[in-house]
Amino acid sequence: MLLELERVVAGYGRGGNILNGVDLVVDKGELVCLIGPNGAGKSTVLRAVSGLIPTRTGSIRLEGREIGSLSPQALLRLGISHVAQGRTVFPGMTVRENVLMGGYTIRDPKLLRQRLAFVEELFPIVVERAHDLAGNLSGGQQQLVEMARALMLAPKVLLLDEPSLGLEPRLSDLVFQKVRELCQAGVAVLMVEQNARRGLMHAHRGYVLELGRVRLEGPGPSLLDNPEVKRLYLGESGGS
Amino acid sequence: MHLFLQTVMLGVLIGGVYALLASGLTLIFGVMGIINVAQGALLILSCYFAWLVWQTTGLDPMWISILAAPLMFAVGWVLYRLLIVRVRGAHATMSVLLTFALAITLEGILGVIWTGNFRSVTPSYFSQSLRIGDFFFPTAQVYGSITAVAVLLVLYLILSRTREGRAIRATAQNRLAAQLVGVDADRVAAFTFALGAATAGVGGAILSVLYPFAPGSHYLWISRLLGIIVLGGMGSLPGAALGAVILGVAETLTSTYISLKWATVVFYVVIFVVLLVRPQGLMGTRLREDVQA
Amino acid sequence: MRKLRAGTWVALLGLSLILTACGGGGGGSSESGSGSGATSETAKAPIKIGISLPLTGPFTDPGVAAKQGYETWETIINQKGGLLGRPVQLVILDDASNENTVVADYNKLITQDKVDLVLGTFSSKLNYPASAVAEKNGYLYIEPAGGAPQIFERGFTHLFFAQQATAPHQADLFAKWIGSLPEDQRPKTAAYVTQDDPFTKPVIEGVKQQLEALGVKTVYGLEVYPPDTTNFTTIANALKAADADVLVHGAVFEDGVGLVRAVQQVGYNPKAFFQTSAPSHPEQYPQGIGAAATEGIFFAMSYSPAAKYPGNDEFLQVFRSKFGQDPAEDAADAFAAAQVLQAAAEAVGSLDQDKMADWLHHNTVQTILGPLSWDEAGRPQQAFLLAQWQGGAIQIVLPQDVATTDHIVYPKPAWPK
Ligand SMILES: Nc1ncnc2c1ncn2[C@@H]1O[C@H](COP(=O)(O)OP(=O)(O)OP(=O)(O)O)[C@@H](O)[C@H]1O
Ligand SMILES: [Mg+2]
Repeated sequence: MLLELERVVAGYGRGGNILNGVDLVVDKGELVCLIGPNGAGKSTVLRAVSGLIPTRTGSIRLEGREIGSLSPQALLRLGISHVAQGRTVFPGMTVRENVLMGGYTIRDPKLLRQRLAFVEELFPIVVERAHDLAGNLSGGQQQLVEMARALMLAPKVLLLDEPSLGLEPRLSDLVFQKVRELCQAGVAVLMVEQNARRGLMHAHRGYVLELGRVRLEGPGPSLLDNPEVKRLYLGESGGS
Repeated sequence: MHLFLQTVMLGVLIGGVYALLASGLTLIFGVMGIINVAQGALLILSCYFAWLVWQTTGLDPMWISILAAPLMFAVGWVLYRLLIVRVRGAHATMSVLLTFALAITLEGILGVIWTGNFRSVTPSYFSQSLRIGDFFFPTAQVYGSITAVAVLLVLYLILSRTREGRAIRATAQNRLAAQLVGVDADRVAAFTFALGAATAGVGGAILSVLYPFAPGSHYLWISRLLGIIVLGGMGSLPGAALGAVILGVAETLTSTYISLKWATVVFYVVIFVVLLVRPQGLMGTRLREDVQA
Repeated sequence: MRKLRAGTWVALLGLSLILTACGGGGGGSSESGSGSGATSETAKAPIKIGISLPLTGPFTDPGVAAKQGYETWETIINQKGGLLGRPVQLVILDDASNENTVVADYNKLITQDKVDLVLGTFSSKLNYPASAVAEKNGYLYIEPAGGAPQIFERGFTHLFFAQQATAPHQADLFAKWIGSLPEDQRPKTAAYVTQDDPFTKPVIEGVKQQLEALGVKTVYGLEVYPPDTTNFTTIANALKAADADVLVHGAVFEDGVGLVRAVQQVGYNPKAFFQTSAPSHPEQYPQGIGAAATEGIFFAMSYSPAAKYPGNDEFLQVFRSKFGQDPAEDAADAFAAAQVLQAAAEAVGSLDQDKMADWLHHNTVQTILGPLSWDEAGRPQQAFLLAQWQGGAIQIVLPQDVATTDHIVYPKPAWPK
């Protein structure tokens, strides 16, 4: 397994535990989708993995190596990139500057140029709107810029927190298509998705998180057929 | 017309110096969300440094300002590591309390060492003026403004051309995102605080020639500088520069054409009016508050 | 503290009183010995004189100087067998330059420590409330500072100001001197500018009135600027445009330096220049404006070590041996206040506060500041010394009987280049 979470307990500052023992795995080239009600702790899982909050007990391993206590910078170097929930572009920088910030830790200018070219190919908007301020883009366009920025380090694991939030269907499809391309290229993607149907439809596997614990898990499409998931997250009554 | 032009030019000159003094304050707020009430006390600390060096060596204070910058940078770095780091992430009021305590402590220490007496740095040109045609420009203010512009330019280059500068701008615009691309938030904060202190270093050396100073002088400056950065938009460097010049000109115009009584009040009147129309200040942007870890 | 009035500020005042009282027990009263009962019963009980001074805070410098002046008087009088045959003991508290604390201090001194007499504190700001405490308790209150006119407008009968004149008359000799100049040399125009300060503003208003009465035309002012003014260039610019013969400036300190620098920068050269307070700082002032620029600047002073008033030599000698330095003006003022109190007690032959006050209203006291006498409100009726910077030193130029030189620099030379 590329990424493994075992009985992870985590929380914020001196507050109580938000995650109460999460078990979860993501393999190379896999798209794993995390669903659950608001406040279940989905974003918190991603923050624990990317090192924004420390793991209190339990273990997080990348390629078998314990990473639960590393800083975000160290995890970035090991190949974990995180696209956070909401708008997180640098609004006062241009699109190109934003994407280049993704390569902040790369000190070799040649490598930086290579990566930029790679990302530009994947996301044409980075070229088209290169000199516009990121803050002036639409929400969906900003989401693409954020993904492009996160890919500058060619991560092994990409954490995506509700990438299609507020996007029109066409853009949202584009995002999912990009995500699948990445998986095919071997990137492991752990994605939080509000729209359970679409998330699970595209995902190899899915997890349902509730109150900081995994309630259900299974291959994406089969979870879609689970009556409980249907009732709670797909807005269908159990009997239909 | 002559009087009007002369008044405006004097206002711009003094505004240039104000801009320099305010730059560190707005930078620290923009990046760290900390209102550094001790910025005025750091200025006065640097005034004393300039005074000491000038008294013992006779070196021109404008050159001393170049010495003061790295020295105050180091002071800022140490202060951050020892004190400010403890209120990171706490509510803004905590940082106000802490830096206020720092300001009073600095004032007390300066008072104990050099008494409450006013000191002045008086190089040969301190009471002279440059004359161009019918216009006069106080030499010290001209030098001060030139130094201010130079410092602001250096600051601009640091922020736009260097890696540290990019990290600072990124952190100011979106702290979470900066962390996610690998910016070490703590390092950036220390660097920013130190950079802010360095501007106080240069500013203090200039101030020491322009006005007499005593340990308690920092109250006057911090209130004025806070006014400038509120007007310009908290955290915006160009905003602080614009706000400083506007207030400098407003001050000289008021004292020439309206009344001396209003000259220092106009500062706050302008701020009041601007904030009624643009609560975010002249160049401030209202960023959405993102979910932060 | 018997008459508590409603309102939170009274509560605050009370709190500070309690705090001060607690602090006082721990040694706040620097001079009070606790063993008075232990000394031989036959010795006469000392006369306790209560004083609160700003020994810390913004008024530290004058406060500490005043303490030295009072202590010098204590030493001298005790050497001579005390006041009315009894030794004198000063009880000095620190009010930290705070108006609430100074009120609490005098309340404590009078009602709790039951001192026999009090003496005043420093600055108009502190004497204003402190004198009210003394008046309410029927104590004579002789203040070494506090010449703001409002202080004397409250109908107090036990208040006396122990300098030569109140603020509006501080510059009387300057105005008289202008009036004494021959018609062809006399300045024709004047400019007036002052900080918005309770002490300087009445001084400048006083000069303006007197110069206008002499026919000197006002071409600028009276302009008043707020205390937080730092930028004097525009004021100087306007002064240059007005180009008055006489410039009269009500300065505290740094504004005095600021304005002189600015008028140098714009190149405005008045024929005569009078400034309050700032020029009396013998070191800070020439440092601030440049020693060469001081030439010819006038100001008013209450005391000169060179003045040949009776008692001055003894004061200087004891002061120097006690403190190893020359007295500041504020120290001399405090000494003079104590001299006034002494004169009243000796004349009346007792410590009857009402009789002493009554005597002072009708008599003249010889002090190291010269003879002092008062009107019904306690305003002194004499004149300040007129001083002038000459050749880098302060000289007394008027009145002639105590002048240190008979030369007056006029017209003032142009500012140095
Ligand atoms: N920075 C924080 N400090 C303290 N508590 C937090 C913080 N962020 C989130 N929480 C708490 O953690 C819990 C889980 O939040 P989290 O953001 O992980 O939920 P989520 O499942 O992502 O919800 P949503 O679908 O609304 O994004 C919530 O109760 C929330 O209040
Ligand atoms: Mg979330």
